[in-house]
Amino acid sequence: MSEKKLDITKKIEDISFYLSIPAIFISLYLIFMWASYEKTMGAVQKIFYFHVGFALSSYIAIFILFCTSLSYLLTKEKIWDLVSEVSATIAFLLTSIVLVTGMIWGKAAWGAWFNWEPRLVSFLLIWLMLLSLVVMRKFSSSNITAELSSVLGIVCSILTPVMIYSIKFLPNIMQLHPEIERGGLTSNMKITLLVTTLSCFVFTIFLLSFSFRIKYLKNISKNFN
Amino acid sequence: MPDTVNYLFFAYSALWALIVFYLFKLRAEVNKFQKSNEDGL
Repeated sequence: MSEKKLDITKKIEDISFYLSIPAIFISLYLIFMWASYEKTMGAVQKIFYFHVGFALSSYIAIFILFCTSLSYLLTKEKIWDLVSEVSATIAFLLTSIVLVTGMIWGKAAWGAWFNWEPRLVSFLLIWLMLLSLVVMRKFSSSNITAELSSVLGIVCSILTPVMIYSIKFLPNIMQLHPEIERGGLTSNMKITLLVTTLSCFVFTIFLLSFSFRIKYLKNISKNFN
Repeated sequence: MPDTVNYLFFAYSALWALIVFYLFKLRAEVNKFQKSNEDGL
């Protein structure tokens, strides 16, 4: 990759960084000061905004993981492997945030940290796959690590739509996800959710581009020395 | 309840400010490294 492309990455990183600073502050203001309280859950429901925002952002990272893993398997170009590694790490970070916020919310709403519910189980499975991807990248010194990681990345990405649509596939009796997620929001809640989700998207783009720049520079200096 | 939510707002804003401060420092270091790398090459 040429220096020009690295400059484009830096520009995307700059724009997303300077956009995400006020965006997250505005989101926090909307969540805590503006959005109305949910009738049954009260203040605890406010965790929902970042929970959903980071969940949707993690899907972007997983989608990039799928595209780059597939591109690497087809072309064997090192650049796709680097982007795939970065997106797996960021997807792992985001899914970890989603799991933790989901557990806190679940404890308050359902009285349990975790339940053997289809969406939670499939999400945990995706998180474990991403964890194994990150660990494999970190500790494996084999020549085929990149290929194996790409295959695991593709399997993990294919599981994601199954997790997203598990709510629709399976009957309501098996679900624990609250009604609010299926359209029970007031207008100020919807605006807050939209702003928070967009902020999370912008911050995810920053994280992806910044991590990629670090990884790329590390790679150059390793090859050079 | 509103008091708790106010405290939470300030706590999370402070946390975000800390993260932003750390990211500024980290980005400055990465930029410096990139510059020295380009000069070296």
